[in-house]
Amino acid sequence: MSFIGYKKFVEEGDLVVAYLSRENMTTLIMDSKATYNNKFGTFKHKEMIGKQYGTKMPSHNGKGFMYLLHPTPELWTQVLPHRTQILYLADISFITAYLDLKPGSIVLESGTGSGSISHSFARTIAPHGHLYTFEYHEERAKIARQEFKDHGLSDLITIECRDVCKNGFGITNKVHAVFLDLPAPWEAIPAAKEAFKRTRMGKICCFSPCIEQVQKTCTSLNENGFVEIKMFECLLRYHEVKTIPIYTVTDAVASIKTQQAKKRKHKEQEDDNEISDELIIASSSNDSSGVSSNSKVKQAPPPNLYVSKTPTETKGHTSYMTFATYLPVLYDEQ
Amino acid sequence: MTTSEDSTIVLVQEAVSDKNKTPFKKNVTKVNSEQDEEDELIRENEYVFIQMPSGNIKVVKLQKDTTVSLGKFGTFHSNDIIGRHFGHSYEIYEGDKVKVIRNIAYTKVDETDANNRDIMDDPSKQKLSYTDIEKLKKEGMEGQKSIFIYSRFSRIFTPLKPTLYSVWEYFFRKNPGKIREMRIDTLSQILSLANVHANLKILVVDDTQGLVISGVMERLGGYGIVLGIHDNENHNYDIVRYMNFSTKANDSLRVLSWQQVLEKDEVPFNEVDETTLSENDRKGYNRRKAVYNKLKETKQLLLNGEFDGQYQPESILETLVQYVAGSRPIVIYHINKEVLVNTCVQMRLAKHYLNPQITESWLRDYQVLPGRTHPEMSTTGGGGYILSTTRIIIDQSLPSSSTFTNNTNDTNDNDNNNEAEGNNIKVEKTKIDTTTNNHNSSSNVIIEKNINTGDPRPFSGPAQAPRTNPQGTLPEGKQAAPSNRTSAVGNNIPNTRNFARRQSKHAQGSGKMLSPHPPPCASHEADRKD
Repeated sequence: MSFIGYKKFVEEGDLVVAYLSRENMTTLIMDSKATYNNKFGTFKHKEMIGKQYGTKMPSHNGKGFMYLLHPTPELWTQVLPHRTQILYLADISFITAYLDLKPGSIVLESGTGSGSISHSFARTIAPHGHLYTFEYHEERAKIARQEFKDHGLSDLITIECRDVCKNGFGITNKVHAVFLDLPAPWEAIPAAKEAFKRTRMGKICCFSPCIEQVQKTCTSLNENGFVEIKMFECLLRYHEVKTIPIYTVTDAVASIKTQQAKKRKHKEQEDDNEISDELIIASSSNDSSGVSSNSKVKQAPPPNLYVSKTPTETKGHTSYMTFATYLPVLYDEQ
Repeated sequence: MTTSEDSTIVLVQEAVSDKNKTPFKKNVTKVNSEQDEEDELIRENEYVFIQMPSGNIKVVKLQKDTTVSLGKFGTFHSNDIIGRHFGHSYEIYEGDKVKVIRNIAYTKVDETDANNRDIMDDPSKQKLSYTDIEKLKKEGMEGQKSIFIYSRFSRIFTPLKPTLYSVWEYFFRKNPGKIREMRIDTLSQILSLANVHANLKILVVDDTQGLVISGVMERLGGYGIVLGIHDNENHNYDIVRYMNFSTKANDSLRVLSWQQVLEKDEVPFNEVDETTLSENDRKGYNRRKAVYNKLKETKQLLLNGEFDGQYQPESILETLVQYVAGSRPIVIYHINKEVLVNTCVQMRLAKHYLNPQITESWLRDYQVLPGRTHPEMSTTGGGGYILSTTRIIIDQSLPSSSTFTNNTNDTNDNDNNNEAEGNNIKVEKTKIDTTTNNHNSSSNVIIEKNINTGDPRPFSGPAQAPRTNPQGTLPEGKQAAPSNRTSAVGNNIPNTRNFARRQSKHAQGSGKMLSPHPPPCASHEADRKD
């Protein structure tokens, strides 16, 4: 039950996320007989069991360490074996909020893909909600089913191998929200409409990378009576924090003077010794800069400023999120 | 009530019976209300957002047997809509009578509607004459397709169910300052990053009038505890009430003032441990919360740090981090990035935060029309910033861990520090001070730091900030890599010097030589001499 409930200590059989660095994480299933090796050393599962989650774990030979993290859907998104393109935090979060998911929600999803958003959905709708997820690729469905089972999510997630565009969902009048991540979501929209619980409002989200898909989806949503059709794009921007010293014009002048002094010394040395140019430059500049930087170190260090900047390269597009509202059937109540 | 239309699908029943298993503290009608919730009925004593023909929203707390006025659009009796499903619209006719009609609330603003497409293409088609409108008014809505324009002149209102999204939208439009300009995407990321779900204990410092608390409470669904810590004597989680939480969900909210948080450190509360299970008055309530805190059972901390400059997130962190268990997320929000930048630096210096990161969400909405699909012309400029990290545990019983810890103080932000320090100096050349760095005795060596963040380096080596890692050793495979030399030209002089200083410290610490610089930068050096 690790994804839907926190534990304090690592136990046998637990799924642990081994954090080596931001880009290097892996999952371990605790098995007291097993050992995990990486380039930083040997980690015995036996030694990890009983430790608190979050512990900084040294390797057996003390060469390095890693962190034992408690699995969360967010971490899982970063470590899961990719079988398809997956959804990330910004999209998952926005979809969850827009679809109004909370404990007790009944959700329909297709396709399951790598199960990234399935884990998030399951986490949010627990303990008494339910997720019906459909994957038309048999092998992926099989792996995902096993994964949900291993992660203690079987009670929350029903997975079925099914081509929903051809055969529908086989669900009527049941779900509160629908999430379609399909190449042609418009083909599944009529079936999705059937799946909605008829006595309440529902929300649907179609997730497509291309604008042409969005247009077809919007047309289909409209034809099927969905309203409030909206389309969004959501991205995360990272801001890298760093410390920079602040220099003044005085510093610049001092630096120039240092350089001039250095050149002077250089010439003097050239006059003294008749060695090859390069070597001279090498040693002399080292000497002089040594002196100058020594003298500068004695000066008060420049004040530091905490700043941040965005990365030069970042994710520019994931997919468009098309949302629409399902209206409850209007019965004649007059 | 049209409960006859309720589905009898097995799963729904299961879900409901699951709910029934959990003991309700209050009366039996609770079971009904849970069923109502499933069906989203309009209920008395609850807040409802009434969308009026103008598009404006009126917030009404529905009381039985009252008349609700919608200003120029008319009035209606509350009883006429109580017990009905959300999702329909109502038309006022013959004074204050209402009839249920198909929902038109969204049609008006819905430009993606294909019906609208025709209208939009030819503006003349939009125009309805006065007589047309009067005719429509007489005939009512039935069978009319020109809802788009008609609704503006109609007496049709639509009750909307307050959800986290609609409540947010209402306040964000009305008074974004009240919720610290937190946009829904940012809020949803906070809830995700904090891994908010049922059966949690979570700490929240909320300065958004309860918006964050509302989101957390909704995601807890009545299971678990959210402990709100507030500034004044009483909390001001105004927004919570609009969410119409069940008694059970409301029970999950506990509050403490900062005063109570700090004072309880002085008074031992262990003796009231036994009373934690009994339902007490408010005072006992608070004590119980204090006990929870004291026992460090608080599992998770969501720090929401919009502090109006009065508080620094650092001080809040300092106070609260002791209650946060290992591997639990800590999330801080602020509309001003600078505040978070400072906190982020402090986190890196401390030992128990893993990889603190500042992110900003970017949201764009689109108009989707055939042949005319484009982003909306105006949108929100920003939705605030999030600083997120994970609490880590330094286990002192692991000897090698503690020594290692000393050597590699902030290994956890290995990458960050490399970036942080590396960026600063990455294209700089320097003449290495021979007195402090014997290893780099070749002259005019230009050294760049490895800023390749793709390189997994969990162990801090010399590429770490020298400040925090003076004794670090150089891990295998860590080499200074050439990097982009174009960016920091303007800073050459100062950074050169700075770099020399850092580098010398480095070399002292590592006892190893960093790779000499490749030729391109040497020519750069030559340029500068000229």
